[in-house]
Amino acid sequence: MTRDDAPQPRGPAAIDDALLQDYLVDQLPPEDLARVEKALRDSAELRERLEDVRNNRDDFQLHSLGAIWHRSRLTCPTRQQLGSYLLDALDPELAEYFQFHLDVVECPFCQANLADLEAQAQASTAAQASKSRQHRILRSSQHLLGDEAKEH
Amino acid sequence: MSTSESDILIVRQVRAGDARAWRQLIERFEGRLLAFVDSRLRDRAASEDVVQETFIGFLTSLPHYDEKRDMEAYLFSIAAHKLTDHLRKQGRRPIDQFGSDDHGRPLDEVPGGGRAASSIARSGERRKAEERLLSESMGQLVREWLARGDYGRIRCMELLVVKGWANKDVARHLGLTEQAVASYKFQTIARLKEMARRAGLSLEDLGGA
Repeated sequence: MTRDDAPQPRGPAAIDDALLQDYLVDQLPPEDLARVEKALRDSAELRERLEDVRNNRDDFQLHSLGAIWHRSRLTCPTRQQLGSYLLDALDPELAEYFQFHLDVVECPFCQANLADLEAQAQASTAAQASKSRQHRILRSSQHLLGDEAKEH
Repeated sequence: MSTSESDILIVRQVRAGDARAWRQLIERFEGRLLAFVDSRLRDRAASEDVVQETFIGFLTSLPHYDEKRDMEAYLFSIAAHKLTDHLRKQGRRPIDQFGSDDHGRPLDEVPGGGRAASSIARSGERRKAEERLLSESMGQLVREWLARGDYGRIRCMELLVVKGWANKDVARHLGLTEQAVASYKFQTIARLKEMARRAGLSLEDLGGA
């Protein structure tokens, strides 16, 4: 087989609605993900098409329901409950459910709260570093306080 | 989760320019926000910057902040948005996993005209009303299930709705029959539709029941 006879590698598939649907539900392989992301960054027209695909999905309301559940944190434990969970001081059934919420549902907000509580439980040494970070945030943001105060 | 009295008080104090209240607010939420951002970035320095941006974003959007809104959820949504911006700048895939149609961006932070015209045309008031209804109705159902300790149903619906798993995967994971999973789903959708009907709205796109 000569070089000219060799099968030419096929170019990437066009970005159609099916591909955008797979993108929305995170089912694209990494190379397609990167390609779609780049195209979205470069093309306002494609971003608009993505929005159309998002809005016209058959499961739009079910998707909305998931978004609402997540956003409203319908089943997230309170911070106090998470503290009790750490101390193993909860009703076993409830504790088991929280474990499911953290490990299977992988709620990022509750995982973050739990990680923070765990860190607090361990960390008197980290206290100083935290103070200095908070000081940095204060310094960089305090000037904005005045604006808000003037409006009220 | 609802807004506590202390959250409302601290926001009012910050609005009045009280530096001590602002310090308290930062102390209270900084750790959990840092844990959230760092779990995704795995870059402590960058995560600290994103959290700093989050607090600045909070102050900037404060004039539009609704005190009834849960403050922690609000701060997490700003952090998710700042995280997305950070990943975009790095050319990395932004995350669309926070269960938000606006990529976690609080509406107060969405610049005017940020949404495509076609989206606005389809959505409008009807979609807002549907979302409000879904939020209230689903919240009511979940509260009922929690009150009677019906964790099996909650697990099932959370995997279907929040995680978007297929019936068969939910059944396998929870050790249920597919019929039982379908039944939980059917009952939930039927109740949501009934609540919608009473409110004079339609949730036909939910399918199922």
